[in-house]
Amino acid sequence: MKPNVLLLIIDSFRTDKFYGDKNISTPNIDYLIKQGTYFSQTISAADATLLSWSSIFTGLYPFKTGIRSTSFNKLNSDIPTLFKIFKTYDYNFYGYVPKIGNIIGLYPNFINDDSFYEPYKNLFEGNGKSLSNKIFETLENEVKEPWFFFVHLYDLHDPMIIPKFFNDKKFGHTQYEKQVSAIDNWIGQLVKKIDFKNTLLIVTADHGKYIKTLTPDNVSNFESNPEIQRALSKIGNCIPKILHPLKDKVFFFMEAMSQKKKMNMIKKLHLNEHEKISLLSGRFDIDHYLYDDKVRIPLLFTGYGVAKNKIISQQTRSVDIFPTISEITGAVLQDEHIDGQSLTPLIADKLLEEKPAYIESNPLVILDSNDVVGIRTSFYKYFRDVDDSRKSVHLYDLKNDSKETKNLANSMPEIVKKMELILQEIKFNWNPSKIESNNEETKLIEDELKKLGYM
Amino acid sequence: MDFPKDFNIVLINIDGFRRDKIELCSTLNELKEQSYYFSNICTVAPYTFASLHSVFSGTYPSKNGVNAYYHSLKFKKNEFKTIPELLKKAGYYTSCDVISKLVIPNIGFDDWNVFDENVIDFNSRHKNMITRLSKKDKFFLFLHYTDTHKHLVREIVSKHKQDSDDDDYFKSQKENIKRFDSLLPSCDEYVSTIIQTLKDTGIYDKTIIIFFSDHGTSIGEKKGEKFYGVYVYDYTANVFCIIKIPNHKPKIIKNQCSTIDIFPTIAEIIQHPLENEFSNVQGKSLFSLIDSPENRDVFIETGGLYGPWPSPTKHNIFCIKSNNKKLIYNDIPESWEFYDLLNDSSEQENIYDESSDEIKLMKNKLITHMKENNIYTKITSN
Repeated sequence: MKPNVLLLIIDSFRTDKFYGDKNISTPNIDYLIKQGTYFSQTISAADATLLSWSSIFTGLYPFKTGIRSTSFNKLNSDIPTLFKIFKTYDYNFYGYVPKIGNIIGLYPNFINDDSFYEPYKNLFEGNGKSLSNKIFETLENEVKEPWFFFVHLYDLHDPMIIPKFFNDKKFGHTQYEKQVSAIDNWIGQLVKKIDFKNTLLIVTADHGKYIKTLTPDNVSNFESNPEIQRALSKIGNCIPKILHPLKDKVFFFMEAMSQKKKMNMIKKLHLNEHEKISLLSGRFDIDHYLYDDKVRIPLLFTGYGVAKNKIISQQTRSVDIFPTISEITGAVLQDEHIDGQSLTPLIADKLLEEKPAYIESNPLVILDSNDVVGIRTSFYKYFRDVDDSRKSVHLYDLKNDSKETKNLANSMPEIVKKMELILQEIKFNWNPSKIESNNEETKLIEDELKKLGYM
Repeated sequence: MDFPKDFNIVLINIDGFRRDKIELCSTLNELKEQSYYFSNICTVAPYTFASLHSVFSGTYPSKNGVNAYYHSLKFKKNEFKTIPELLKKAGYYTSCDVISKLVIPNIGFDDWNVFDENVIDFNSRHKNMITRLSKKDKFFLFLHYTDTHKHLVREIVSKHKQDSDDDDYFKSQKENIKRFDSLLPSCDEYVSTIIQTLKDTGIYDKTIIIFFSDHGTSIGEKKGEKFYGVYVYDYTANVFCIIKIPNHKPKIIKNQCSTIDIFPTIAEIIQHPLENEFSNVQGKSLFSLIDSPENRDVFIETGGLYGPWPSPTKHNIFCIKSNNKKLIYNDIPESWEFYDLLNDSSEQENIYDESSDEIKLMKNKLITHMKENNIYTKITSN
């Protein structure tokens, strides 16, 4: 028997808000954790959606997949993906994915024709009902099995519109917490329809996000107003392309003014660097950091073939998701040259080597940003400038400083050296395809293409 | 067939010329009526880099290595020989004038020239080249005429950028046709200049002239493709080939064939057997189609630089044309298309049906071709 699979990726869901936060009531997620196996220390390979998807669905670190924030941000066509493997096992694909997923060459032809939605469409403003209906229909209407249903929810991503009922302190102190409660409630409705004997449910996230509220009492609340954000976004989309440079200038001017105002507001608060960055973060920040807020994601397996009531704190990675689904369902992954490893030994109480997690920041599309790459183990977090190992070096002792408040890069050079070696091994010693390694030839061709007016 | 010995060979590529426009060019049309005209010839790759490497080697892109925009320098020169190498061996002086060092292999030429498209006057430059070469005993000259690229493609890229969803372009087919047609008079004048120069220098009667196009050009037929290279539909796959041999009676040959057949055709003209170092040629001489019912299966492949599924480092679309039917395999997103070209020449209605025996047969042929040419895709790796 081939089990059905429901993969739920909730954009921007942080681990610390998924399970164990006393401020939030998440009875349905808690129930699912009791019914399955929860990995509490899973690290996404990137802090943004496209790169994260690329690693989840290929089991490879993003830089090996071809998906980048450049002109050709498509998946390299010869890379096996979860969808390609499952297709060979005759799975039927259903999907509900933000529209940007349509352009990266990763997703299959979903059977439902409305699979790519406008990201600003909110789960609680119509989408939820129609989405629920689609899933329920799939679950109830004897659609040809086996099926693979992939749902990517955007509701924790900005602009975050909280449903009225949940916009109350009893559901959490921050906007983020209230939205988590609302999503939990929706999950509760969803799970009632699932036949867990025949269905594997995976709940995870693509990356985390900064919560721009310093304390539960909202001493400093820099959360953006979602209605204004959405209105601005809609106005922005109506502006003709010719005026985009002007629009960008106005946007960045406004951002700079807003940052300045916020800086003055937090001057007297004696915050550490991490706290400042969390509060002041914006959508187009030039500088990047890879704090756990952005890369630590929940990972829950429940239903078909999964042990119940198990919480595993060993570090795991987003690249492990694909091989784990593959092994649980029996959709055998032929290509062994991937970075991920199946987590089924941990689910079966066996030992599995904890692997260091490679992490990278997402480059901005229209601006040059100061991107970073790094390594995380369950002991240390290390990241530094993508091009220069001496720039923007950060090292955190996660066992003694889980909030990542003290940068120990200068005081622990030996650890920095060790982490750098791991990074070199994973990223810089990787043997890419012939084409990518031959930079001189690529440059020559690109120069000619530019000369001929193609680029 | 009897061929004159030691005649010059002038091979001219009218870059991006649509087959359906020949009748609008009086000189070219007149030349066609005095020549062998292959009216059903297709390119094996609808963009210049891969197309011309295939013409010059008589092999499919994935066989010769130039199977992507970014593989333009990966021609397997140790495995495959080129037209100028063949002709040089036969005692020809070999010369060329091309837009870029990427478009053909720089092998076998005595005289290698690259022009600057921004300043070139094709008429005077190529007239001078022919005049200069006319003093040679026998020569081979390859000329690359790129007016369509110069005035049309550059304009499209700069005006419409490369957004494949840009409706403006695809809604303006009338304007697009007008723009393409506006380039035809200068193209025809160029053809006239070449012929007149050959006559003026006294070598017209001892020169074999071959005009062909490397691919067609979109006028907005299919959303996502603003010029060429993105898909394998007929508006870019259909090309033309005119072979003018002095004292040979004109004939229109309607049999299906492909541009990799040009190399063995030239080999037959100079009566050089394709053996030993030339045995890897995959095409077959076009002359064997004359008075023959044979229709050759044609295989086409591409990977767009732009469009909805760009694949500049690896071809991702493959097709077979056979018996007026076309089967297309898109590797991304994995899908099939099937068109009845006789009743649906603009390829509007995809009638792919997995259970059809005809489609199964064509699919087998396409997969066999892909495997023979080491094309790695989802369907060939299983």
